[in-house]
Formats: sequence, C-alpha cells, structure tokens
Amino acid sequence: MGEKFGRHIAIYGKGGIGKSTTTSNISAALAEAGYKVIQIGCDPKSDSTNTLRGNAYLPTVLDSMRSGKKVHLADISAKGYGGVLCIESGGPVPGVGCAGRGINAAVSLLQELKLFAEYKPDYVLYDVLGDVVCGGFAVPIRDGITDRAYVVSSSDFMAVYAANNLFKAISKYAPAGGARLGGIIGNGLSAGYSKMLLDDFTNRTGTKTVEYIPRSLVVSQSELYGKTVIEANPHDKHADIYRRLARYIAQNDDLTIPAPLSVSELRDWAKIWGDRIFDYETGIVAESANI
Amino acid sequence: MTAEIGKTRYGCNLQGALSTLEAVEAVVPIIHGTAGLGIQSFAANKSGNGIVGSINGYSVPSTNMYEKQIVFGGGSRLREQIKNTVRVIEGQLYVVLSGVESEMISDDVVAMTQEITDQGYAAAYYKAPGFRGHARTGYEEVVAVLLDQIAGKAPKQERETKSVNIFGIIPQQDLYWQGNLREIQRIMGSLGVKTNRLFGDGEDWQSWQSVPAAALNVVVSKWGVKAAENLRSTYGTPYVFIENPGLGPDTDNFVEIVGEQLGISKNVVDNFLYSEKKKFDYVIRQFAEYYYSYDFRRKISVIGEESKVIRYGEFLKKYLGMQIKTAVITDYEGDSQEQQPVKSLEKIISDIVYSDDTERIEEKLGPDNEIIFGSELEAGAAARLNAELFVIGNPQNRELAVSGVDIGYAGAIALIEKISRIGRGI
Repeated sequence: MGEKFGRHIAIYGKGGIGKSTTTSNISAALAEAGYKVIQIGCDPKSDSTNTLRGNAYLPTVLDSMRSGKKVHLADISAKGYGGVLCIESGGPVPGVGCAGRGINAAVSLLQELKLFAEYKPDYVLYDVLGDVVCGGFAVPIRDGITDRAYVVSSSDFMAVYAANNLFKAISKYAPAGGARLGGIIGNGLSAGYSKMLLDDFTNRTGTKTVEYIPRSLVVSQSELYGKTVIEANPHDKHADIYRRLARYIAQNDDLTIPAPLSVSELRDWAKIWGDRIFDYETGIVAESANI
Repeated sequence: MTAEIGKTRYGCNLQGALSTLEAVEAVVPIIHGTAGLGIQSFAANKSGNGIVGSINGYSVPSTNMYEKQIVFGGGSRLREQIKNTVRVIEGQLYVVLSGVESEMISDDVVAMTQEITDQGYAAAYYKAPGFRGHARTGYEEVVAVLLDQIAGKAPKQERETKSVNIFGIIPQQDLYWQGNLREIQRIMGSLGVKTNRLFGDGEDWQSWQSVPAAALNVVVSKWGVKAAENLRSTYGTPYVFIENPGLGPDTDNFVEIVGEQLGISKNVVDNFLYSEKKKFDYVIRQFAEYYYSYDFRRKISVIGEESKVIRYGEFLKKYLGMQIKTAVITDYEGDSQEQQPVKSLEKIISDIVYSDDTERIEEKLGPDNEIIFGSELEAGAAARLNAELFVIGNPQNRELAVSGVDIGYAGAIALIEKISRIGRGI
C-alpha cells in the first residue's frame, strides 16, 4: 500500500444494527475534535454517509466505474459535517453481479486515485456491510488496508452471530497481517440484560465491549433530520457518548485476535442466555448469574 | 485429501465442451467469460490435435468480460454478444458456454439464451465453469445438452435397423479421434452398417438429427456411457459399451458384439474379420525381421486414459510380447487411492496406478522400463529412466494428428509401422 496516511479503522456489524449511524457519529465527533476524517461506506446500499451530508446525492465509486469514464476523486467524494470526506463504494443492483468483488474493486480504485496521499487524513473509517459472507467483504480487514476493526452489535442473537462471524474472519487474517479487533460497540441496548449478555460474549471470546450505546429517540430524530447526533443535538448525552467512543477509538491501541465460538458453542451459549433472560424477566436470581 | 497436482494433463470443463462443439459443423459456441478462455483451449489444441470446425480459435464469439461486468453482472454483455453473433455467424445451433467468472457471480445465462430461442433461433446453454470438472466431463455434459436439443425437436423418422452412433471418443482431446472415428466407420461399413460419427468432417447439426434413428449406440470409453443411457431412456435405443474396441485381432470381439446386436449374419462378420486378419498377418510377417533384429520384447509402461491403456496394454503384451511393468490410468474420477482396478487389466498386469499428476506418475515408473507409452508429459520420466518415449496421447506436439489411428486393424497396422522405429535411435 506504500506510505500509510492516518489510522484506518473498519466498522462491521449485522445489517440494520446501527453501523452507519455509529460510524457517522464517530466521524463527526473526530471532525469536531479537529481531525481530518474520511468515511468510506462499503455497502451496496450506499447510505453510510447520509447523515454527514444531509442526505444529499453522492455518486458512488462503482457508479463512476460503471460509466466507463475516467474517475476523479472530486466526482466521487463530498465534504460533509466538519469537513469529513464522504465516499460510498456502491455496488450492483440486488441479485446481480458480485458485491464482494465490488468492494474489492472500489478499494483498489481509491488506492489508484491516491486518495490518502492526496487528502492526508488522520482517520479513515470503513463502514462495512453486515455479515462477512465472502472474501470480498473481508477486503477492508485484509491486505493491510485497515489495522483495526470494531463490530457494532446489539444483544440480539443474530447480531452476536454476525459479530462472531467477523471474529472468525479476523482470527483467520490477523496472523498474516490483517486487522485486529478493537472491540464490540454495544448499540441500541434497551433490555436490562443487554450489557451482561454482551459482556459474557466478549469474556468468552477474549474481547471487550468498548462502549454501551442505549436506545434513544434523539438518535432516531437526528437521523430523520439527515444529521448526526453530534450536529443535530450536540448537547444531548448521546452526543457525549459518541464523543467518548470516538476518543477511545482514536487512542486505543489495545487490539486483540478474538477467539470465535464454534457453531455449537454459540448455540449452547444462546440457550443458556435464553433461560437466564426468562429468569431475569420473572425475577428469579440465579446464584451464578451475577445480576 | 488435498494435494497439489504437478502438471495435470487435462484441460478444463469448458475446454472439453468447446472442443466438442467445434467438431460439429454449424454449431456455434458462444463463450461467456473473461478474455483468453477460448484462446487457451485453442493454444492447447494447436499443439497437435488438429484445429477443427469453421468456428474455432480466434473466431469463437466471446463476451471477454472485465471487472465492470463481474461487479454489476454480465447478463447484458452476454445478451449483446448473442445478438451480434446470430447476426454475423449463420449457425444451425448456438450454444452458450459460461466460464468460471460468470458462474461465480451467477449470471442469468438461462434467460439470456431463452431470449434468442424466443426469437426463433435454435439455442442452448451449458454452464461450464472450469472448476466443475475437466475436459472429459465437459464432453460428457455438453453431449447431453446437444441430445436434449434433439429430444422432441428432431423430425420424426423411422429407425434404421443397420445404423449406429458412436460415443466416447472425445474430439480434439483424444489424440487420434478423427482417425479412430473413421476406422469404426470403415469397420461398420464393411458389415453394411451406417455410422453416425457425429464429429469431424462432414458432420454437422443435421447429422445429430438422425441420432434417434440409429438402431444401436456404440460406446467405446466410459465417457460415452451417459449419452447412451440418455438415448436408451428417451428413445429406447439399446447400447453396447465395449471399453476395448481393440487393436488388431482384439477388434474381433468388438465387431462380433456389434454385429450380433444388429443382427448381421455371422458369415458377413466372419468373412470381414478373416480378410482383416489376413492383412494384419501380412504386415506382421514383414515386421518379424525387425522384431527379432531389434528385440521388441521390451519392458514397458503404459500411461493414458483407461480405454487406451487397456487397448494398448493387451495388444503390446499379446502380439508384441512386451512386458508391462506399470499401467497408469489418468482419467479416473474421485480419489486416486479408492479406485477399483479394471478387471481386464488385472489379467495382464499387477501394477495399476491411478494418477493424473505427472510428478507422481514419474515416481511410480521403475528403473527397468525401456519404453514409456504415454504423452509428452512423460518425456522427463523417459529421459531419467533412459527409456524411449512413444507418444500415444495428449498433450503432444510431434505431429498434426489428422489421419492417425490407434483402434481396430488399421490402428494395429499403423502402430506396428510406427513402433518399428524403436530401438534404432531414429
């Protein structure tokens, strides 16, 4: 990749879990703190940076490639809140072509365009599509593109399942120079047991939860305005949570190679929590539950 | 078990399918894949198999996909290629072959083919990603596609009681495919039987229309069995699978079985075989001087496809007194360690190896070999063993094999003529 400019961070998580909201708020918080930030949406939906740009139209990297014309950085990037440079990789229409290869092609094109050398960012955030279903979606954590990844997860089983899949990808690629894990960002946590469930999962996989973001109307409202919480509600406590998270991610160098659970371990673990949740809701406190 | 294969000898699934289609005149293959897919097959065939058909090599239409089509799907690029192909190349049947990349991204080859079918063109598709098989499965499966095109579409015709189709000889992949098909046709012709060669000169899509009319399907390698099974269930056509159609007098068994199946009078069969045997003996007598002067009772190994190894093995042992040290079968399916030895081979040789890995084959050949019957890939082994290499299969680049034959009486005579050079350093 040649000279490295800035710290490159990948943020993964199951679809609809709040990755883009979280990533955009981290970008906004870092920008607010005076850093030069690039946010690259690696999802065919191409809506990662919407709240940084007030939902304005932005041609994707792959749209430009599709047109067959020479691509210029100016055509595929836009400055959003606080000067965050917003880029969307884009992808094919659902059901056609190969979105995984699309991410690979988009990242290669950005490198060819010398994006990082030109812009000299302090931080580059990659907001990557949900589950790591094939090699293409693992590109941002391979080949030295990023050196750290975070995963956004709620306490829903399928979100944890997606996180565990990412752990598998990280543990596969990290020994050969791929990204390591910074931790889990707990998002949309409303139930009383949510924190405990996530903590138990991180304990078992040798990782940690780096922030707990509770469910909040402020987040939904800001999103509807086409803005981040940092921009729309800068004095809300949620803005502070994002600022704290951004500070942590900016400074943290405690990276690990996770130990993912096997399919059967994950299933057994889920069952235990199924029982615990029921006990919790019905007020039964088990000795070992640590509630 | 996974292992690295050193110098594998067969082309990919698409290569087998393409080589097969090219050998049927007026059938137009259309490749949907990245640039170079067709050219690789062309380059491989150019080494000596003969480049056949009017649509071959550089003239095979191809979508030459690039990254844009991989990311966004190559369906519309294929539509464009099909549309232009039917405009500029007049064919009786168009067959779309999709390669690795288009199959990896699951392009809708079916719908694209259907579009020209709806416009009244005869068209079919075969999903031929290289990773799904090799050249031999490519032949097997694309033949099924062609047969499927005939089913219900070929004009109704009376069954011809004395006619056969030949399956199991793979165009442009088997070294002497043209000569061998002609030799079978010659033999059948002598019995008054009409032969549908289906591939090679003068064979076009019209020839395939008469496949259902044949009274018998004759299969001469395991790669033709599925086609024959298919025709038996569709049209009730019986078939015979004779894995060793023979060289020289070994041919008699083949001719007698086919003759009996077709109800040819025993007299006709016997008279034909008698005249063939006489010609063969005439040659053998001429060869005898060479045989004793240069001592042909050599220690040898035979490497190649199952049907070829059986044919050569039996002939070289029985008629030339050669001692077979090792037989290597290269066209097996599944794990090389779990193959059941071919019964007819077990009678003539104890050391049967299954491998298509050139390096492993070389390891298996013992130091006392004097002649290696194999392909050009055995050149290294032959040099190391200080043995002569006698090329009987692909890959090879010593000759343009257009009339060569290694089946039947003609095959035996050609083989003796060639083999007479052995031992004299020429």
